[in-house]
Amino acid sequence: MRGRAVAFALVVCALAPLEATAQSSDVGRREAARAAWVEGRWADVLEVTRGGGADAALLALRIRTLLLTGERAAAVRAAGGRDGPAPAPALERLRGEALLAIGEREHARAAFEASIRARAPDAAVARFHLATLDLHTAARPAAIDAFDSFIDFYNEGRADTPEELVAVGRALTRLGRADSGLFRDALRAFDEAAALDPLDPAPRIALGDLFRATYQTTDAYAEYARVLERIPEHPDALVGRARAQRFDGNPDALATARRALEVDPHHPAALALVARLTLEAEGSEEARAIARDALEVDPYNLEGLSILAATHFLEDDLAGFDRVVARLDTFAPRYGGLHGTVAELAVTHRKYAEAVELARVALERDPDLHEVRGRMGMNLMRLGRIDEGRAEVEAGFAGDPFNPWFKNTLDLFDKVDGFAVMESEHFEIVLPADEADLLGPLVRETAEAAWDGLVARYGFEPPAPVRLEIYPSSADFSVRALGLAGLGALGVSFGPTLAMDSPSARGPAEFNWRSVLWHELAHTFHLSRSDHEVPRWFSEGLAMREQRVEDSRWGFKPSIAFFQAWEAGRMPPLSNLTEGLIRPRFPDQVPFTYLLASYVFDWIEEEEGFGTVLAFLDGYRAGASTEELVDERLGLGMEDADEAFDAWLRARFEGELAATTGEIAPARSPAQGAPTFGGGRDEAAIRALEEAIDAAPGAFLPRLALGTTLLARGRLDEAEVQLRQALRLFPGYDDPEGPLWGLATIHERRGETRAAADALRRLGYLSETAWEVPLREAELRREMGDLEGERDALRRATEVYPFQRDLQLRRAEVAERLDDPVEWVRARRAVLALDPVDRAEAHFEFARALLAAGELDEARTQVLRALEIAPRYEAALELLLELRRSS
Amino acid sequence: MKPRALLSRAVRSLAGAIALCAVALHTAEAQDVWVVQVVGLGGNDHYTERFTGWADEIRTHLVERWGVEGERIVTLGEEDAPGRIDGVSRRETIEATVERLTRETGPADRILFVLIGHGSFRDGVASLNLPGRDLTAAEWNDLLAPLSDRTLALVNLASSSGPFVQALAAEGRTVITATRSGQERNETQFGRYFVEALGGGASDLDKDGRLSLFEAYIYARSETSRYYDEAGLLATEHAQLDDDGDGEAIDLPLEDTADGRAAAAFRFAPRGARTTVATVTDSVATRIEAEIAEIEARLAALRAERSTMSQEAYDLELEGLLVELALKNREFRARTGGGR
Repeated sequence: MRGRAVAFALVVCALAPLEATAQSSDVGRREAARAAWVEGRWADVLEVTRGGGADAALLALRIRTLLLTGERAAAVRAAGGRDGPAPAPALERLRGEALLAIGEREHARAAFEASIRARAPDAAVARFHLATLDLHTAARPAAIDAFDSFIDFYNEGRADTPEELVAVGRALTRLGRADSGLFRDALRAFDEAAALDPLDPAPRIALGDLFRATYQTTDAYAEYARVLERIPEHPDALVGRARAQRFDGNPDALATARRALEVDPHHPAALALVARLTLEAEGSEEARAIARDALEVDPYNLEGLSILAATHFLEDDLAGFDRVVARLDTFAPRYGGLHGTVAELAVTHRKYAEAVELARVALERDPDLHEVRGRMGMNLMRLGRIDEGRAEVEAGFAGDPFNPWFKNTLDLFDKVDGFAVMESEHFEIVLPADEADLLGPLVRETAEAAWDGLVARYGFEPPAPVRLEIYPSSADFSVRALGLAGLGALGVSFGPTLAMDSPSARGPAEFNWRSVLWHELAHTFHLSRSDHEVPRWFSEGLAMREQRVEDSRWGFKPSIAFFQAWEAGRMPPLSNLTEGLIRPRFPDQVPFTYLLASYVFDWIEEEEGFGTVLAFLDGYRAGASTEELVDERLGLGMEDADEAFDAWLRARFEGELAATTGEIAPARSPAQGAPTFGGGRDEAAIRALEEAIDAAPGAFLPRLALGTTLLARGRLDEAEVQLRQALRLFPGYDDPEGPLWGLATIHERRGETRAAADALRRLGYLSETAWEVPLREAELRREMGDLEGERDALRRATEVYPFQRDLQLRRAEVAERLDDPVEWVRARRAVLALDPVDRAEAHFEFARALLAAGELDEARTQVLRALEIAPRYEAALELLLELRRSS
Repeated sequence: MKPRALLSRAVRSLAGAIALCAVALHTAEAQDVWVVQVVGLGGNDHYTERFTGWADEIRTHLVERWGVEGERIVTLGEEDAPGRIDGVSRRETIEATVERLTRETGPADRILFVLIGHGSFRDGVASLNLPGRDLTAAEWNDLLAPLSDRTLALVNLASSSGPFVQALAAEGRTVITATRSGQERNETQFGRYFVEALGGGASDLDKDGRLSLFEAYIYARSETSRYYDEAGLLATEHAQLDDDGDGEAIDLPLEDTADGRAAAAFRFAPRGARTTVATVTDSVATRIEAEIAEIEARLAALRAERSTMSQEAYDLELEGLLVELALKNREFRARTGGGR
């Protein structure tokens, strides 16, 4: 097929009258109707075309307008009714389209056939529709042949109206599945259609759809925009835009689709899209109702059926799912899109294994679903079946060469081929070869500790080994997670496979990789125990709770912005936490929702014990909903649960809420957390802050701002009073420039080194990403001669970011002086892994540490490596002799 | 931000080469060393102090650690650094210094030039910014022509120093520059690490107690790279070395390049150390030294066979040889009262 270029024929044609016998009065009406049509003045079109008589062009405009505005029954009537005939042969095709819109497939078929028999001017378009009707049946080969015939139709110069050219383009788009080169020809046909009638929306929308199908959403938006600039409420253009927005993860998709429904409340495609978006937000029942609305209009609507099937599948209602499939089989037994769509939605519900099986069924029904095949490959890879999955992604990409997910994934795994693989009791760890020596032991240790800790809490072991992939670039991690770069997350759990950023992917203090690893592994436990039925909010919140259980520093901390958002009612209630994750309304709503959800488990554990949390997971596995489980396990209705949780949280953070919200708190966006109140050095600013404190003595920010300002002016005693008050009001404030930092500074200036170090230690224990704070503390401890304190501070800093050689050297030196061989070996191992230029010395020093730890064999190996580089290294030669004596 | 794999492999592969060079070429230490430091214009107090401070440190290291005679170190700098320089780094003074070296040194001598300061690169011409008229790379080459039969090394720590390689390349002449082109115009870090390298310790990569220019180059180059990685910055300088005279500088020596040998032979021995086998008059010590050399040759042969052996077998044989070496080393020290 490739190489059969579409011959170019420039055809200039406006929307021509369909009957040559039009009377002169009709010419004027036609012009008026068209003028209204191109501007989207639907009411005017209908007014002008009312009583159109025998003028087919006027009637055609009327029928199209009625269809666009959702007046489907009226459109059918205008076109001659269900049984026909149409007022003119040239209208049979439109009658067929109107009948299709109300799900009258067989009558539509008859209308299309009538158009062909009558050799209507637009009979080619009718042929396209007939082929489309047969496409998902046993007659698919004939349908494909019919699509193929559109190439000849074009090449022979017979496609000379926009509608015919759009039909050519759509036929080529379908043929493009077997020969992707034909997408370019489809583009050409649509372009020509648009050139023939620049004001006709249909070619533009077709272009947008083609760009969307080839993942070029920027171009797709541009085409839809060209329609919407003239006709802002064109429903088909709005649906196209909404679909593109959904593709891009733009939360406006739902609003855009709903705008289409304002024009046509029963637009099946818009309804199906809204249903899909609702289902993606885990609103299964609502989605089902909307999908049924779509199917009420058009019982054969494939998207509507697909979403309806998905709602059953995701609720484990396999009988319901099968009923929908049976319904599909009555008219489209070879349609694979339903199973493909359900597979895709299963992934949004983290059901990767089911997604693979669904994709296999989809491909049995339609082997040309390249995107489904490639996605199946990605899901296999998420399940840890790397080779099998990679082969499927390769195959998918061969048929869908525009697919960025597949290309990115394949490129990524070309890189991963060079990664190191390490094994531990429960993990297969895949990480960059040049980080393996440093990170490998740390990751192995943390992963196994997390495993043990979570097994103890959850009372079972998920299938092992878990594959843990560590990426040195956030973009690569993102590709692994989604197929595309740009995911802001740090880690992902697919259940049997985890992927996350290496600490080297970001700078020091940007994140705590151990905390992230713990979080992601907790998901694996949740997914396994609930058989992947756990709602996202539940798993995210519980995983964050697990972080805190392991280490109080880990996980998000409540900030001023969090309290303000919560107090202002900007956070969803317990019953709707998913909304805050799926469709955030402000930038920080996702992390705030994680945090809020995590407190749900503090609440449940405190009130009912952890057994109740486990019972929830088991309940989800058994198919229960959150509402049912809240009723069963907590004895509350959802509204009562919302209120009870809110009250509990309010009591827990009573002091912080009072200190950070209310009128005294300066207005700020939810994203802002750091104090900006006051801050000036002049006396006027100080007075203003003092007045603010007088007005609200319990407010945190004015005290922090005043303390900071006084500190900047060297008024240490006064500053200390304010900062201590601020600390009392909000003891968990973890900003590095909070009260504790100020107090540490005050103590340092006074020469109270121990107090300064203690303040820094306290501050460092508030945040999982503290880096500068423990480093400064380590310096102070060194000044004090507090070696143990220095060791602990250095350990905390290097746990967050192990890549700084000088810190590891200091850590080794301190450990040696403390005669702490375990710490000494760790630090020396890290120094060597950081690839120092003086490798002989690094091996030698590592050997010394190992000797001190009694690890003689490894010490011998290391000293050999040192002497291999530097055979004249006298100290190493002596160490070798000492080791031989020792062993 | 993180160590570079390429550097890791390259440095590892260098280890053997360093040791071999040390065995084969250590007679070069017997020669007398002269050092000329040329500190260019700082442009402000900060840089003047920084550059002059480097020269001070180099002088201290050379004298105190490596036993270079103080009067054989000439430091030319800005007028603002009285007491720390031997003259102003004007072109005429530099020319006079070279004339003096021409008179006072012979073919057996080694002369190290260290250029410190800001470089410039205009119209394809690189130069070091000096008080008065600058000296271009080509003019430096002309200037050094009378010394061409000496063992010469020139280390240019300045920005835009890359073109000095092409201009000064000559067989056996070591040319090290902080940058690989004239376009790398930003302030360089290579200089501070080169100065640090001359302090010895970690830069003595083969742990033989001596320091070669090659080791100093590798150390400074690696630490410069680490500086940019840890700071999360894109490197704006890439040091290079040429000593085979082809003007094609290298970043790190590969197996099929001749570069690195002359730099490895240009070595400094610690103050008070015996410098060559030839100076040992004790016949027993000479015999032990010969036995040590023989063990080292066997070690080199073993390393060459490594790819054909299992790790376990290799380590076993390596350990045996190293134990022999350790014992011989003890014997030698007992005989001579010090290290080799």
